[in-house]
Amino acid sequence: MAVDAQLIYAPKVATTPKVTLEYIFASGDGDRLGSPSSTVSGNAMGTRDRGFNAFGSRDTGIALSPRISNIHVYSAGVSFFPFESVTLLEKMELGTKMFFYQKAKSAGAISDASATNDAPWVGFEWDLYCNWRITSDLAYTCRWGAFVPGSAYDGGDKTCRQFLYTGLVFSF
Amino acid sequence: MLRVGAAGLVLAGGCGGGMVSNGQATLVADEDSAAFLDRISSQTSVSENDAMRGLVILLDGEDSHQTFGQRVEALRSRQVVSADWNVDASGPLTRGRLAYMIYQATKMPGGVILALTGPSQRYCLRELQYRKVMGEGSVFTPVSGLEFVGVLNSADTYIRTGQVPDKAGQIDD
Repeated sequence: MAVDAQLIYAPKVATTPKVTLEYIFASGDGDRLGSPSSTVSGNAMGTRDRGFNAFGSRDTGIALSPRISNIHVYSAGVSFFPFESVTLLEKMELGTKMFFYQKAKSAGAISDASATNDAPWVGFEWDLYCNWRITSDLAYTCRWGAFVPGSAYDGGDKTCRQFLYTGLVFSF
Repeated sequence: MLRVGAAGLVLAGGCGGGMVSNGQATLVADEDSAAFLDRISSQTSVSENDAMRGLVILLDGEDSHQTFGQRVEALRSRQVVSADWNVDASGPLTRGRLAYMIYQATKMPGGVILALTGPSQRYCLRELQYRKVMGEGSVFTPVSGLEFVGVLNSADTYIRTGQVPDKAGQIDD
């Protein structure tokens, strides 16, 4: 099973700020040791598979970006449009988001195969992003995230992981 | 050789001006903008003759032209009506043509495609949909009277204030 609950507060004031709180839970299976969703390295033969397989995706961070299975994701974010009075930049949204990850079943795997320890704390991530609708047919996006692994990761693989994504979308 | 000849004919046809059918058609004389909008709003479709009157009123505040042909020429000279269009006084106004005329009349900034290739019905409609001046629908769909009045109202507000009103007719302070 899975749950996704989101609370958005968007007061109608200058710069159109938005505060978001979200909780995502997806059940896991304690004997899925290598993968939360695939058959190979998946559920132990003869046992019931309680891992959740998701279709589609949710925003679970740009750096770790775990699949929604065997995980709790707690997130909080803030975004706003700081340049509303500048015509060219009026639709530029700047925002930040924090994610905290925890395994649902500490013995089971999450989609990042290096989180092999039997420990619930996966880690946390900080994201910064910019979404800019330049014109009706041109949009730019940039997102940076830094993930700090927790006790679910082995000692040698606990360095901060960073990821930068940027894209220009031209629709016609 | 045959293909080259055919392409030449198409290009030659595109370079000529569009035809005006029923150019002598008239409308109710001395109809002010309020009476015009009241009459149009109850119609299920809008004729191109009425549409041209609406655009002339939008730009000049009144329509002093006597015939459809005069309205078309006045709007063509201001590039609100494309010189390539075949227009008919009794023909139905389509969303693409309305979007083109409103885009040209309001001189609102467009996207990359409009900047590179100039106005076209398809991209003017997309621009106006993006700016919430027009609703969803295809280029060739006829425009209802009520929608026409709503679009004229939004365009008039944009010309006066530079902003598109929201659903409640309000603009930002």
